[in-house]
Amino acid sequence: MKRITRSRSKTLLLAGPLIAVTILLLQFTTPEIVNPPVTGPFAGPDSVTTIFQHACYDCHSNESNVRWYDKIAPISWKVAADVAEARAHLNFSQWDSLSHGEQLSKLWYIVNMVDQGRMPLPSYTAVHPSARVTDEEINTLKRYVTALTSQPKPAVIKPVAHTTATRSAKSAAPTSINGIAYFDDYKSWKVIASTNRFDNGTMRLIYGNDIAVKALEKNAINPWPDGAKIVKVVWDKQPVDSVGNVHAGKFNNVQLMIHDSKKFRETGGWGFARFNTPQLIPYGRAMTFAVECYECHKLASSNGFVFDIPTKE
Amino acid sequence: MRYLLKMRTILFLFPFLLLQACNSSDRPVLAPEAIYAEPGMAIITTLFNTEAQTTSVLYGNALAVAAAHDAVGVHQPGEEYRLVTWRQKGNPLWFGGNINDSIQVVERVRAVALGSAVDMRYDVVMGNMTEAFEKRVQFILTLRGLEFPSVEQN
Ligand code: HEC
Ligand code: HEC
Repeated sequence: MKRITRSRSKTLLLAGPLIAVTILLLQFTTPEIVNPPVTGPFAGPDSVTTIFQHACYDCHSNESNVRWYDKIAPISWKVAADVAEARAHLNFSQWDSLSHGEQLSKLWYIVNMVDQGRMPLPSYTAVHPSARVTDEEINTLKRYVTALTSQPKPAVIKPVAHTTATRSAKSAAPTSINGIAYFDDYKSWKVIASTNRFDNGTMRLIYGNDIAVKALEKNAINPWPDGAKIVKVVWDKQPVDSVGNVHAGKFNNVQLMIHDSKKFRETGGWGFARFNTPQLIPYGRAMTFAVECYECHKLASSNGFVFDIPTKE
Repeated sequence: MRYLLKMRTILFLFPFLLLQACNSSDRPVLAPEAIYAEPGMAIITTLFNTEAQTTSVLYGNALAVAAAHDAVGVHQPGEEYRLVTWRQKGNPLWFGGNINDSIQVVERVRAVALGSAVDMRYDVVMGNMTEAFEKRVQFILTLRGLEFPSVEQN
């Protein structure tokens, strides 16, 4: 009994310095975070820029201010990896490289990421409390993006023409790069939600197939069952009339989500596809386009990655 | 010993309990009753109202759909329309979007033969409508059929 205790304390005696030396040696592996030149910085009002500076710039800009404790391995590895990934996704120092439209949709994405507490990364605010974004700051961001988004341009109100054509046996349905083909079946499905956006000039109907509607009724959407299909049809808005009515205008695009937990494991079990214009041109040049869809749909992870479902107040 | 074990179980479960508590608080409660279903009817169009904060979908049977897509606007007996109007609210998961809430009113218009003419019958299937029925019928009949994509066009 005694001998065991003694040998244990011996091990401890040896292990202590060993760990210390290892940590010391690790310090030589600390990756250096370099700050490339700032080429086209974000230029919003000061009230907004300061929020991004204190909460986001360490990761999403070329002005990373790395604290001494961030330089200690193994923490430093995580910090360097986060910064590299964050810059690749969004870099406020290269804001100018985005088109006006891209900037606007990125800003709405940013506001919603912050609103849901996804950004700044919680692992980061735990160590850097000053980076937290307050409710007041979130409201500042919301007011900013709302004001930036101008009213939809006035368009001539005219009834949209209906085209009737007979199906030709040869015409194949347009197919997305990931193999998901457009289909007409949803036209007989139930509408699970009707939505409109004030962050872009569109309105939508969201259809669910029987499997999807049953899953909603049974509250079995975490995860959704395989075979569930959701289709969103997007139309441009027409200008608001004298009594406040906004009618759907031209068809804009159609988006599909098809649940297959095996086939689409990497994107939360959902296969994504989008077809633009009445010609139904498939969106996405590389397979990775669906990752973009999935990343943003993570904001709806509490509902199995689906935003538009009927909920109580 | 037993106490220790218990302590360990609690400690082990603690993070999960915490997660559970967070989950249930911000997880919206589903309201499948807001899904409207009318067998045999297709969608004609959709609109929303910024003053009343409502969103609507106009459904119709085959004859009604055909009439809503017809440029001349000739009506015939047998057409049946249903205008479903929901209250609208901000999408709880996305600032920047509005989504339908519970159903507020369902209005119905049916075209019946009256001699050689076509008469429009109006009733409120669910909820209340304060506006005069002539105005509602006129409004519903001016709504035109929406442009949908179709494989058949390609
Ligand atoms: C500790 C580093 C860190 C901080 C601080 C941080 N982010 Fe991020 N951010 C990341 C990483 C890493 C990613 C990519 C992976 C992910 O989404 O988790 C990312 C992704 C994003 C994305 C997705 C971009 C895209 O197009 O895919 C947005 C938007 C975003 N961050 C906004 C912000 C905003 C706004 C702030 C400040 C309020 C902020 N982030 C603070 C590390 C950070
Ligand atoms: C920047 C965030 C973002 C990205 C990127 C994104 N979505 Fe969405 N998506 C949303 C939001 C917000 C909604 C709900 C609001 C609405 O009706 O548009 C939505 C709704 C949908 C719906 C209806 C079901 C639901 O979740 O509400 C489908 C289908 C859909 N998106 C498909 C796609 C596809 C396919 C892609 C990629 C090509 C994509 N989305 C990329 C934000 C995004």
